[in-house]
Amino acid sequence: MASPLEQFEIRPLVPLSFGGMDISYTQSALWMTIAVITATLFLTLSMRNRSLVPGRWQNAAEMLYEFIAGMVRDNLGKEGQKYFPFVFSVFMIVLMGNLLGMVPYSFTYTSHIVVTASLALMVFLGATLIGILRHGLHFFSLFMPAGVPIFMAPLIVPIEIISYLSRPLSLSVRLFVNMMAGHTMLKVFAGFSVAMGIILGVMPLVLNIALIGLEVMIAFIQAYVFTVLTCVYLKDAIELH
Amino acid sequence: MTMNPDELDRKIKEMRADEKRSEPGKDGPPPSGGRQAAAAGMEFISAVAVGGFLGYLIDQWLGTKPWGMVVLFILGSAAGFVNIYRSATGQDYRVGMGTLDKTKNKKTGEGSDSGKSA
Repeated sequence: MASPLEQFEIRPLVPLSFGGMDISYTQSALWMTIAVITATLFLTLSMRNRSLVPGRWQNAAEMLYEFIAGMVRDNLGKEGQKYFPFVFSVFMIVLMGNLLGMVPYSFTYTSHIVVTASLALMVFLGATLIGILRHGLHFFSLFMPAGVPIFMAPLIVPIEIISYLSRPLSLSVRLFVNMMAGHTMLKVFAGFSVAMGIILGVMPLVLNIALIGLEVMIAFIQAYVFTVLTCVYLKDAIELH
Repeated sequence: MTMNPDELDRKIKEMRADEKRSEPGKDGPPPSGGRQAAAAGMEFISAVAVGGFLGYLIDQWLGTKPWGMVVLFILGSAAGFVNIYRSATGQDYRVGMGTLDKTKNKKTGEGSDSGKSA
């Protein structure tokens, strides 16, 4: 029987190499392309009619938009409105990755730490750059909390810097672990079904149905968590207490 | 379905009131204990890992093996505890204790953040 981890194997579809580097178009890249196309088609086609009383599709698109718009408004305030396109794009690419991963025979690109770490680093470096551009060197006062006596600085500053640097790690690991663990679990229970035969195999199958529901919920929750933390990090850079 | 304007007004008002009432819980239900514990573990481990890795790099760079790693591992653990404290008190992993005072004041002032700290 196939290993439950086999689903995470990267398979090149179009072998390419550039300057000795392997840049093959893999099934992971294929599903990222599908995610971008799906998200674009979903958002543009559902908003094509722009009716005052939204239909089902338009309602879904508007709900997503308002969900993120509200999150940006709550966290970043008026000044953060210009970061909305970025936050919404991050949300859609993570959500699409998680949800398309639930389609049978598909590939979950968010279950690879290289993908989530790239996303998290982009958010982290972006937020840091925005902070430095907005506040200049004053940005580094982030690492020296107000009201701390100066002789504590040699201890507090390294701790705050490590705490700051641990953000992209925990951000990427959280998403990757949730996705990988969930999909491994589904595969393990599906394997039980096969191994236990037709009659007893129904039990893991029933459990798997419940787990798929749970996984769809986790797909939404993790996309939400990733986006909320993106907002929080941007907020730190913008407001700088 | 027809509705006279007065009734419509009343309905809109009701909806607005509902929206306002649900505002504090907008962040969804408070996370369960297990989920919160798992998140805290992640926060802790990532800070320790970053600390250890930084120490390793410093040792490689300055040739101070093993002191950089020892010191930064301990500082990383401290940062991990800070992270846990922040995530447990609804600080959303914000850097800087200054924010702690600010949000505390805000909390007592508006009480709109209460959903997060629960």
